[in-house]
Amino acid sequence: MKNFIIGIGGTGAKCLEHLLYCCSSGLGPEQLWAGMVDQDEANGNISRTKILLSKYINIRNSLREEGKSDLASDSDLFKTLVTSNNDSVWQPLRGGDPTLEEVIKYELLKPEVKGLIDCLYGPEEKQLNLSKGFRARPNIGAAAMLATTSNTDDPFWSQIYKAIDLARGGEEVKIFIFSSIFGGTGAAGFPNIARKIRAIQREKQVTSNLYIGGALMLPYFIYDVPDEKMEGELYAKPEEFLDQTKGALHYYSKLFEYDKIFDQVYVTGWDPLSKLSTFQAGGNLQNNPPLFSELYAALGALRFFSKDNTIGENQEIFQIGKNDTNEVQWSDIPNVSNNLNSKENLATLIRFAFSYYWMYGPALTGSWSKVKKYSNENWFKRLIYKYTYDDDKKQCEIGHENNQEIISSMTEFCRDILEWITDMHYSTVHNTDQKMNLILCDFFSEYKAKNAQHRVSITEKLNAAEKKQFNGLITDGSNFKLLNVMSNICYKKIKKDQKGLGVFMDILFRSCEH
Amino acid sequence: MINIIRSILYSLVGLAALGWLSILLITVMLVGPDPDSFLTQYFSDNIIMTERLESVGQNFTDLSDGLFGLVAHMNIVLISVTIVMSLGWSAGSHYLNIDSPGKAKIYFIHWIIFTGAFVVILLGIIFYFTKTTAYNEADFIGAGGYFQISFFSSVYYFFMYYIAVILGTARFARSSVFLANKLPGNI
Repeated sequence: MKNFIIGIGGTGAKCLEHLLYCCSSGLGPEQLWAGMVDQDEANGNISRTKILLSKYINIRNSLREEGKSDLASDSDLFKTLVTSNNDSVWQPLRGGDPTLEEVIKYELLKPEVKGLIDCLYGPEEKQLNLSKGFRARPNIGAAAMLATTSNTDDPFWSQIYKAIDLARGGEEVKIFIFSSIFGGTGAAGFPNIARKIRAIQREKQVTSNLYIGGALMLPYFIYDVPDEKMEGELYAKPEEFLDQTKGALHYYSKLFEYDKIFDQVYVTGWDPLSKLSTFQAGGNLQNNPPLFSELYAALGALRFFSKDNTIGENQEIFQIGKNDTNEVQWSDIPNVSNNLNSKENLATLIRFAFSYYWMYGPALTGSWSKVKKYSNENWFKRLIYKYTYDDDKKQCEIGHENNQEIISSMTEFCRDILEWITDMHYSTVHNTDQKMNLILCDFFSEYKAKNAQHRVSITEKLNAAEKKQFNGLITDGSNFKLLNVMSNICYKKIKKDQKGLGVFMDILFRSCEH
Repeated sequence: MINIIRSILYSLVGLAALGWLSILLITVMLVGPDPDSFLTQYFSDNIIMTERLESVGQNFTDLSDGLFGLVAHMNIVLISVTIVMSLGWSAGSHYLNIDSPGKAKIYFIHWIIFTGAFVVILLGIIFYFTKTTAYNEADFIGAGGYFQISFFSSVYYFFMYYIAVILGTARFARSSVFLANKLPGNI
């Protein structure tokens, strides 16, 4: 089975971000190709996911390098083999800073077609520079996307062609699209990209084995737009979200009635809307926080990819919501399948990130002369010394640059995990009467809602009292302590196919399971 | 819990390595003195003050039953204390708050205090049996005999305890026990 995931627009990228964290916790499928679509390539949300994607791929490669460092084939840590194009983002309109007029070659159109275009698009819209996305104008996005070609020369579309060829060859292929219904790029791309895929499928006369799923995000956040400097600007206006959504849903209901584009659609939103404290129309400064409802979309995608998911003849639409109270709890997180408990895996990942970032990562960082003070400790002897010992040089190679690179990449990734979950924890309910009851994070983080670039600061070092609060990190009453992690890493069984630093990483991850 | 049970089993193996000798000695002592045995001869020659015994009109045969009883009871108490203390440490080491790398060494001081307390208890028990009026036979144990009983008993039971805690201490707490961290990682 081959799986493909496409995140369209800023929301699509953020859902993909959640999905990557879920994949690193073992909730993902065996294999996944990931790509993003956005005209605003420099967008902060896109860049963040792009960086995360490359970090995931690099760290997984270095921890699953046969013969060197190997986590073992059945390890949940970085289970999913995620691949992507060299440039993971497909820009529908490449080059310069095109306007809609330039894209559709307005000046060259016949007068009657020009008239039609004038009816559909205002002068501002025709002149809008599209390098920062479609600014919540799906009508512009749709025109721009349909104006582009989807040929095999394009790295993004070549993957789609490959997927369809695989389906023709008898392999089951699943494609999933993340998108918002109320934005510009997402709302434009969701139906159009899916329809393009179906068109290629029809063109190649593939009648089975290809399934398309999608997560459609209804309005789930809102922001205050500053009055100054926005006059005459085109941007996503929160007061228009509901109307846009209404229109789009009406359109989709008609579309789905006559054309089965999607096999499964997962619809989610958030009420009351999460309130973002910062606003940027686009560009690299638009760095919106990860929000809880995006996690629903990511879990929907994982459910779609799950082997247990049987896709029927009829199009299915799933909705999800949390419990009726104002509190978000672990029980609000659905399982991916009967065998994959989302809560357990995510809690394990968070505990792993905490333990590694503050406890074990620092102990392993540095040259042998710095690290050797732990050489007589059981966990080090069992999991590090033995598996990084060079028989030729007769020494432990933990201080070698290859190993140190893995250690520092993991430290960085763990920091990202902590920032992601903390940011989601705070930002989803900030300035609302809702509460998040998933993790306890105030003892290791500081939240500044107005600082879009560094909303969350993670403490560099923890004191003894802060470390002690680890038992309440996951607010499920489990009372799982750092002592339990230490005990587990000394007793967990090492698998035969584990090698190098993969041994330690996998054992530490498994040691964080409750 | 499974790790604690494992620790206790390892600890019992360590106790058994020397403990069998103690159990054998206790059994022999409880059976009673055999006039031809090495032990009877040894007690007569090295432990008892023969002159004092003769001054009260008794000989070793009159005393030997009681003396063997004293030594048997003392060893029963000593081996019981050793078992309790070593299993106690082995199980208790799993609850030491060693939550980060390098922290086990801090608990060396706990182990020293615990071991010191154990040695004091050992010496106290030996003193109780050999120097107080709890057993009349103790009056006839000479200074040399007292030294031999104290020295051999304390050294023997200390080593029994030490082997048991080396093997039984939680893996992550081994740096808190002298030389225990030299054991291979998977034991």
